[in-house]
Amino acid sequence: MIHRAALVYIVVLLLPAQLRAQVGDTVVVGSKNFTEQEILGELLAQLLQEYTDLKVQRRFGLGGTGICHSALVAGELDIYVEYTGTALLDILKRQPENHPDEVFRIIADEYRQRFDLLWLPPVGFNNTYTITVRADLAEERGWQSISDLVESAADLTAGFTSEFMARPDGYPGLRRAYGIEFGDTADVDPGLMYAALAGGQVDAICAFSTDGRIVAYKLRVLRDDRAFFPPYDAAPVIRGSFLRQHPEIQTALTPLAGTISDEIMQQMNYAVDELSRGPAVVAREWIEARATRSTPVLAQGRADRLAPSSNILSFAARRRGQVLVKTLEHLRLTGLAMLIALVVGVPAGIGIHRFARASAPVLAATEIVQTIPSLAMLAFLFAIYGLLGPVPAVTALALYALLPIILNTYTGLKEVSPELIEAANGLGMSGRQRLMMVELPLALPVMIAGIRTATVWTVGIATLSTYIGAGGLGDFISRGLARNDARLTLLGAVPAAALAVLLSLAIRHLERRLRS
Amino acid sequence: MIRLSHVCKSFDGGRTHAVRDLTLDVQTGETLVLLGSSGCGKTTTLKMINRLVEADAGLIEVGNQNIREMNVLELRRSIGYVFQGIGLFPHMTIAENATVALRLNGVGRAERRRKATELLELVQLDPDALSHRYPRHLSGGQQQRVGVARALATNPHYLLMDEPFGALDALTRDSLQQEVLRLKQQLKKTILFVTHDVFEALTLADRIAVIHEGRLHQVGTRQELLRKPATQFVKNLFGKPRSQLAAFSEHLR
Repeated sequence: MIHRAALVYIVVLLLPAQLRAQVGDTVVVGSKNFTEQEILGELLAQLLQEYTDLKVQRRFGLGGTGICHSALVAGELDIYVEYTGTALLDILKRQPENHPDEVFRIIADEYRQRFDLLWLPPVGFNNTYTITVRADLAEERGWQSISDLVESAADLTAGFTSEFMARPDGYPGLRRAYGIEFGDTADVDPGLMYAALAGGQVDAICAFSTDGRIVAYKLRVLRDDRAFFPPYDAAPVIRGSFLRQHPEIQTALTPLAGTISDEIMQQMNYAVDELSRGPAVVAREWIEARATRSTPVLAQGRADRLAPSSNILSFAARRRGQVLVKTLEHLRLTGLAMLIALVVGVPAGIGIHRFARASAPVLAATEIVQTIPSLAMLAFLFAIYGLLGPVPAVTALALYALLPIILNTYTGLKEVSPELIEAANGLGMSGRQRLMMVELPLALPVMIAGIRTATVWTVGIATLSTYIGAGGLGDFISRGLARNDARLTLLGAVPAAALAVLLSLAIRHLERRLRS
Repeated sequence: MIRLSHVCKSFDGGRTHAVRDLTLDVQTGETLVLLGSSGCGKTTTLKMINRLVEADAGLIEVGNQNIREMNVLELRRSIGYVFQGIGLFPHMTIAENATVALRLNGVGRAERRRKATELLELVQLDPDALSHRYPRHLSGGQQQRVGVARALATNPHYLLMDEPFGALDALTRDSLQQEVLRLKQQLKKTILFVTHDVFEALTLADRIAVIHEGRLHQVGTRQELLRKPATQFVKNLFGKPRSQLAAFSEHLR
C-alpha cells in the first residue's frame, strides 16, 4: 500500500503544472529574483486575487529574464512585469532607442505578432541608469539635471561600475551626449557604490533609479534632461490567449497603470531591502492606500527591524513554519532526484560492469554532465521541457547524482575478488543469483559511499532550483542575496548545510553497519 | 562415475597444452588423487569437469552423461566443489555459507537452518558457537571445514577438491586429511582430489593419477606406483621423498 501511495505521489509531482492547475482557473504570476520584481509580482498577485475569481499561483524568484520570458511563451507563467528596455535589447535584440513611447510601440507590436504576448500599460516608473549625487550637495550647488553638473564635473570624482564604464549606454555615450568629463573615475562595486557616495569617497554614481538605497542614504537622482539613458519602463506582460479568456484581468490591474513613480518604487524597495519588511506586506499597504486614496505607510516607523544580526534567533523562530515547509520541499527535491538517479544509475553501473566496452563512453558522458554549470543545466533543462518547477529541477539533480552512483556501482562490482566469483560460479549460481547474492552485497559499501557523495551534492545543488521556481531552501538564499539580508540567506543556508551533514552522517552510519 | 576421454585444453590457441589427450576415469565411490607439480594441468582438469573451464576437445561424462549436453547450472549443482582459496563469502554467516547451495535449489529458511547444524557437525565444527559468526572470525582450518561442508550441502554424488589444504599448516592439514578419510568412509562419495603433495596423495587416495606437463604418466594404486613406476618421472616423484624420509629417520636414531 505504501508503495502505491508513493507511486501516485511521484506521478502527481511529475505532472506538468498546467495539468495540475486545471482543477480551477488559475493565473500563474511570475517574478525575477530581485526585490523590486517580487514587490511587483505581489502587486499583480494581490490585485488579481482581490478583483477576479481566479486562483493565484506565485512563481517568484525565477533566475533571469530568459527564464521568465520562455516560461511565459511556454504557458508556464501567465503574467509578470518586464522592463521595456530589457525587452527591446535582450529579448528582441533590437538597436537601442531612446524615446519611451517609441520603444513601447515597437516591443508591443513585435511581442503580439511573434509570441502572442500583450503589454499592459506601464506602471509608471523607469528603472534605468541615472547619475546620482548626495542630496545635500545638490541642494547646495543647485544641481537638478545632468546638464547642471557639466560645469563642475572636472572637480568631481565619479564612482562607476565597470559595466557602466564599458556600455555604449553608459559613460562613453554619456560623455558624447552631454560633453561631460569627470575629473576622476573610480571603479566601484554595484552593491557598495551607494555607501561610497554617502560616505563622500565619490561625488556621483551610476545608481539604478528605483534602488531603495537612494532613499536610505538621502541621495538625489539628477534628471536626464537630454533623454540619453534608454527607457526601462516597467509594465506587465501577459499571454494573449489568457487575457482573451479572462478579460477581467485588464480591469483588475488598472490601479497599477501609471501610478507607481520612481520615488514610490524606491520607497517600497527601501522598505523591503533596508527595513526587512516582506514584499507581500509592502504590496498590500500600497494597494490599501491606493483604494483609500491615502499615502502608504511603507517606509515609516519600522526602525526596530534595522539591526539585522541582533535578533537572528527570534527572526528564525518567527519563520520556523516556513523553514519547515521549505526544508520538506528541499528533501522532496533531493529524495526524488536520488530515487531517479538510483533507479537509473545502479542498473547502468551493473550494465557497464557486464559489458566492459560500454564503461568508458558511459563514464565519460556522466563526467561531461558534471562539468556543466548548475545554473546553465537548469536553464537548459527548462528550455527542453518548457516547464518550470520540480520536473526540470529534479532532472538536473538526478543527472548530477548519476556519476558517483554509476561509478561506485561499477567500481564496487569490479573490486569483488575473482576467487569469490569463481566460487559462486562453481556452486552453480546463475548470473542473476551471483549478482544478487554475492556481487551486489559485496559492492554495497562502495555503492553506499557513492550514494552519500551524491546526496550531499544534491542537497547543495538543490538550493539553485529556486531559479526555475522549484522551491526548496534556495528560496530563502536567493531572496536573502537579492535583498542583501544575511538573516534570510542564513535561514536557507543553515538548514541546507545541516541537512547535508545529517544525511551524510546517517548514510555513513549505514555504511559502517554494512562493513562490520 | 566420472570419465574423461582424450580431453585437451590449450589457453594459447594450441601452441602449448595445459592438458593433452587425457583419458581417465574415477570409479563410483572411489577417491582418485590427481598428483603433479603446480602448472601441470591438474586444476584445469578439475575445472573442466564442472565447466568452469570448457575443454577444447575430447569427451567428459559425469554419471554417463556428456557434460556438454547437460544444463551447466544443474551440472555444477550436482557436484560439490572445494576451492583452493576456500572462497567463503565474507558477507554471509557460517551457516549461510554452508547452506548457500541449498538456497540456490530453493530450500526454505527453516530447513536450511536445520541442515546447517547437521553440516557443521559433520565437519566437526560447533554449530552453536559458529553458525552466526562470519568467515573472518574463523581460523584457516575452520574456514576450510566450512568450505567442505558447503560442498557437501546438497549431498552430491561427486566431490571435486582442488588442493583444499594447500594453504594450511602441517598439523591442521593432517587433521583435515583425517577428516576427509572419515567422511569418505561415512559418505561414500566419488571424489577427485588434486594435490602436489605426495604424502597427501598416499594418505587419501584409492588410486593416484600422476600428471606432468599436461600428460598422464601413470594411474594406479599406491603399491603399483611405488613398485612399478611407469616412467622415470613417476620414479623420481616417489623416490625423492623416500630418500628424504630415510635420511630423516637416520637422523632420529
